Amino acid sequence: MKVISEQAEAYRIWKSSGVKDRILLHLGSRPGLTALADTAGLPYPGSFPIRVFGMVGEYEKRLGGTDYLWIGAQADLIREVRVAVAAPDRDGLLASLIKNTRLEGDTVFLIDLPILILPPGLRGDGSDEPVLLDIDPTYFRHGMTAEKAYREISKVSLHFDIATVWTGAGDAAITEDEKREASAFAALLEKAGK
Amino acid sequence: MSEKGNTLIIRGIDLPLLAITFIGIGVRLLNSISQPPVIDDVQMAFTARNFVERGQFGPTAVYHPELRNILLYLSGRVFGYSALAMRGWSIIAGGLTVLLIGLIALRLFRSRKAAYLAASLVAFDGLSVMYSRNPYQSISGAFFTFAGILYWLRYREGKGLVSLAAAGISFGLGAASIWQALFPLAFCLLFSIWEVLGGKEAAREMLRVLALHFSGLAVLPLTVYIVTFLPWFRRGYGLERWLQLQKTFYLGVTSNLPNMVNWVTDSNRAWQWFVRPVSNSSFGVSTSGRWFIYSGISNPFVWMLVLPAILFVINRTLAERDRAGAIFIGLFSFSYLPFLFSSRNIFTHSALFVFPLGAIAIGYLVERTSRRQGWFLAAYSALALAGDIYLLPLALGLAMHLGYLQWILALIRP
Repeated sequence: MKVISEQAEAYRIWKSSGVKDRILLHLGSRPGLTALADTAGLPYPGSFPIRVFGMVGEYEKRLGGTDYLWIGAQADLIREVRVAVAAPDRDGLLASLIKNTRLEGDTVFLIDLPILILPPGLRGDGSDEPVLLDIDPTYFRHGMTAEKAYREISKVSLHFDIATVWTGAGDAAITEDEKREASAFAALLEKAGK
Repeated sequence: MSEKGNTLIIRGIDLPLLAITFIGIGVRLLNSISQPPVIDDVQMAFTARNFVERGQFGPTAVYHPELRNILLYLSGRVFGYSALAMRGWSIIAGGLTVLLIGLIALRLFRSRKAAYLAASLVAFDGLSVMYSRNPYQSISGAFFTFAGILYWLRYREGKGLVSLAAAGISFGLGAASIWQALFPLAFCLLFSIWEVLGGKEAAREMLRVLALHFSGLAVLPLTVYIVTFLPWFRRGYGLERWLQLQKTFYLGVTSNLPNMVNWVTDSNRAWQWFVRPVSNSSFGVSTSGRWFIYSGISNPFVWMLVLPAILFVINRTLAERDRAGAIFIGLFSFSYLPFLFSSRNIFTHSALFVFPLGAIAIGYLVERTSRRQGWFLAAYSALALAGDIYLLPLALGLAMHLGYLQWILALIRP
């Protein structure tokens, strides 16, 4: 389990851990799924041949809290995203996501990346495949506490092998209560040896 | 107009048709390898590598089928993303489309003159030439689709299962280039089914033939289409996700609408294709920093004759109760009407599937008319060629140096 001071750090942790094509469960309403402009960073040479390089390096130069998960998908670290968010924040999250994507039931598709917006309350899918767990402090709103969140995770026997908890440090939009609960949640995971 | 007739025309090597094809390839090659990359060249080179090596979509055209990426990647690996690698496939596909149109016209209307004229109209057509010098997939999609139609016609004439398989594979490659190929494919499948159901075979034989048609014209194209997604499947996705992906593609395609705002390029409705000049342009910048433009513009002497020619074919088909004419009208209708009645804007490249069929109708109209007025074929050919020669420098990226075309360039520039 890693406590991170900025959201984009999660990407670096996954990459240095060598993860590939994984399912990621994000808790909170700030999942960093904004797509970078699709052709930004391409060179426009005045002559052939075109020097074609991988785009991930270009994306990483612009890595930030709003796009770290999208870049994770582009870099083959993530193949599917599941987002759990408190019920009152759900519509706002959907509205922000479907600006550039399409909504089909509870699944938003960002190009080919399926993003499942989970109903309130965590649930397991019966799979043994461990997920990447990524938490932002907005999850601890509307009465959700660190202990309650931890109980839910334990209840559904969620398998995860890497957990990244952003405590919201330095972000004025995150309340002190949310930061405190996020830190407490990280401590619970730490205590449980996660 | 008869389905049966001079099969020597088709089996023999038709030198005039081959000559027209080579001219068509030559026109597409002119100046194409020496010209600097346009934006499409760059974006599609990156997209090809991103898909084949990593199963990822983008950075451009993220919801398009994948054959273009595979072909460009292969040629890029061999030729190093040079002009030949990026434009070679389109030049070949565009050039061979000339041949296919001639062969389809021959097979349906049994007239060399009609076939030669139809092939010539495609060979010199500005829009076809412009797209044949660009890595965009419409021209190769049209090529595979016309190949599918030709093989299907051969199969109908009893040329065996190889023709059916070739038709299915060609249609699959067409759909793997651009979904537009599905419309003529749907016609071929439905017409084949209709012919079986209208036949007098016993029920068992009927079922056998239906299963054969379905395998060749539905299962085989679908299989080819799915295979082109292998780099994506390698990332661990299954068929369920693939179906969702197709739906995402559909939503992407239907929401990506052309919204052009100037006079010539504001040709984003299919009804405009055959009633006024339409165009599409591609821009680039050379190492010296000078902008240049390729602009395909439809020749009004040709494109504006398409609808009258189609009406003529319909009239003759009804008068002569001719099945080949009915097949042609069906192919044209299935290729054109979905766009004509679409409430969304349509990119001009979609016309590359429709105009060549219109050229066949023009060939038929002109040839039939010239039976009574012998001068008509030569006079019309001269008029059409004059229009093509006038407009072709625009498609070849040479118009900046020609004073007489500046008025058109002024209309095209954003």
